[in-house]
Amino acid sequence: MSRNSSFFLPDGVEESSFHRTSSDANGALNDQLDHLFRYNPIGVGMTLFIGVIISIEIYDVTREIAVLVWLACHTIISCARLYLTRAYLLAKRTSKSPDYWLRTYVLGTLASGLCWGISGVIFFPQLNSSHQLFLLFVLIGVVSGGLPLLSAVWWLYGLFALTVILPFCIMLVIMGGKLNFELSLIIPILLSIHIGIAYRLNQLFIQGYHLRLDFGRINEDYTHLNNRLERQLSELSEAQRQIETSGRKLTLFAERAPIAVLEISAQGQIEFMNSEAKKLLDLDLDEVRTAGNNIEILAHPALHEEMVRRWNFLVLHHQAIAGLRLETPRSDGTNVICEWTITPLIGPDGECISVIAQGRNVTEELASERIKREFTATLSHELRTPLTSIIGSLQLINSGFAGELQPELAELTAVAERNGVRLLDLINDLLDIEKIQSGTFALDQEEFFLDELIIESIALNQSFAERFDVQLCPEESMPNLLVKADRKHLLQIMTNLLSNAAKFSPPGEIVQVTLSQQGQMATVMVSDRGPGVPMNFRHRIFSRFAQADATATRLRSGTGLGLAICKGMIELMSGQIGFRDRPNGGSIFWFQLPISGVLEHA
Amino acid sequence: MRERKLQRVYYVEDDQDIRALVKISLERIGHFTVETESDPFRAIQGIRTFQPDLILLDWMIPGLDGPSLMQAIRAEHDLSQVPVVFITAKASTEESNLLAHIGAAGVIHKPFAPVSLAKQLNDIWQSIEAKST
Repeated sequence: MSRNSSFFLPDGVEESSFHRTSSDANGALNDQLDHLFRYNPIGVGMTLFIGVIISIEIYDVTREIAVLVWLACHTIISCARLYLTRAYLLAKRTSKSPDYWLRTYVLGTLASGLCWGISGVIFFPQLNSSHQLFLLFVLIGVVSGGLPLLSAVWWLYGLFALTVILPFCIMLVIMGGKLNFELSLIIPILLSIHIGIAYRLNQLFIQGYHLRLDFGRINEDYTHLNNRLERQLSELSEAQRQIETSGRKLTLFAERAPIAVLEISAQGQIEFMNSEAKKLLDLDLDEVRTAGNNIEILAHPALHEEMVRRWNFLVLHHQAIAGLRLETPRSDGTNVICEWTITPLIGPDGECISVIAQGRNVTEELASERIKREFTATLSHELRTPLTSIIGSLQLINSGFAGELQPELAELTAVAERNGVRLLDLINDLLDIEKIQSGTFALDQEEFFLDELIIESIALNQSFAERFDVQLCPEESMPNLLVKADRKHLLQIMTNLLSNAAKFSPPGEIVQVTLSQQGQMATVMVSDRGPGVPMNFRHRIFSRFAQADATATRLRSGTGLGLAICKGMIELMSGQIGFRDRPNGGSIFWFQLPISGVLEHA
Repeated sequence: MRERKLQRVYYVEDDQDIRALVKISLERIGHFTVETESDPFRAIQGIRTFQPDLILLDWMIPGLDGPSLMQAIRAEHDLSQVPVVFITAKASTEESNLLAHIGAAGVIHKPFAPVSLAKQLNDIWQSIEAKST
């Protein structure tokens, strides 16, 4: 069996068959020995029986002592052979090699054959002609009877027959006489025919053995193959079951998902819609098919050209799209706004099999965002109007124009004014952040020199800083950098950074303000000697309502929105904002703006 | 020609508190004579009676907003020369441009500081005086 053919065989089958071929010779011998020993008791029993019959028959007509001696020898040999057979069958041939058993079997058989041969030599000449015929018949019968028993090993049969007949024939020749001579010629012919038959039977036996062996092997292979096929079949059905389960799960996921799920062919034909998608479009798949079955139903006709262009790009370049907002006309005449995630499904050959589109109806979300925005704006306005009156009244009282106040009363009205202003700041900050987040923050961009704005911001905040016994110091000579930005809001940002620096600096310290050019960007840095930004606060310092701790709020006031507003505004002005630790303690807050020019100015 | 101080101010504002605040502020600090009105539809008659040097208008007045009221005043032949100043929470460039376009003499942004309101009005008044001479 070649190695290649093992392709059709399961593991293990090929190996064992391969090795068994080399042990075929031993296998055949074992089989032959089994045959010989199995039928040996029958053969021995029959020869013993015939030996006894012949002894009784010739006992009176020849020397009794010779007959008794022969019968004794015959019986001893037969017993030895039976003992040997028992030993073989009990030991199951495992204790000794097959050659050993064959050797002993041959010895036993030849001894028996020789015993018969001697019987012919010693008894034949002393018998009358009828007994001679009887003996001759018995000897030929013994040779013939050995044929089915011994032909499994043809040469053994040949030796056995020769030991029985050859001494007899030699004796016939020695005895002389025409009849004896003729018999000595005929008997060997008969013998050779018998040996020929034995040889043929031996061959058939070997062939039979091989056929059995091959059949066993084929049967074994077949069993292995069958087992393997059965295993594969069960694996296949398990795989099929899993695929079906996955399919059902997927269908269930898609069907019960709270978002619209569409499967669309690469050509743009809608092939599957879940119930949410049907609800969203107010259509079912049949109606979609009637309406042309195309993704174009997902958008207004004005967008179709752009849609087809983007679709082709997506299918060709396998590029997924996320967060695509599309206004979709429904069959009832209303519109829904959907946010789509569109993912192409790519096959193993790199072809786009289909496209999965998942859409979330954001119509209400957008509407509620708008309502929230409007609500915030209205609320802020409604809050600002009474606050303006409160603060205005308090300012008038505190200014003394409405008459002198007792000191305690003056202190109380000052507290009221200060907190009124703080509340107004918070409302203004909320309005700003809301506008920045909703993208409605309007910038009033103009070109101006940044160094001039820094000087102005320091002048505006100096008195605030002095409350904390802190000095705001601009750099000696700042470069004249021209930027295009919103002046008013940039002042607001500077005020925020400067007041933060002043609030957090220890008394007697100086806040440094520098301006430098880095490539195409102007960098403003405000450096303080404060405690620095706490580690656990760094990641959210520019977030809304960000304050390091509640104590800081109470001590230093502030809405916690300042830096978030600064970041939003700076980014709207195409800039960046950040902070880092200052060497030898403190923080540096910086922002960068694109330079629009570097001009000398008076 | 108009070498005189700002003395008489007519103020239209629907919010009673702001109205009172502005009136006190202008009278106490600026020593102006101030007449106020809450109903824009009675304003023209009021202006004609009061004969102010300057009209101060709120933008958001229910019924008739500030710019519309101003145009109505401008349409009155005898009142068309009285300068109009707006006091408004609306701060965008677009809105300022609109006011300049319809001929407002100045804008005071809300929230205003009542202590400095008189000074702001005086500054606007002086720039009008400077232009007319």
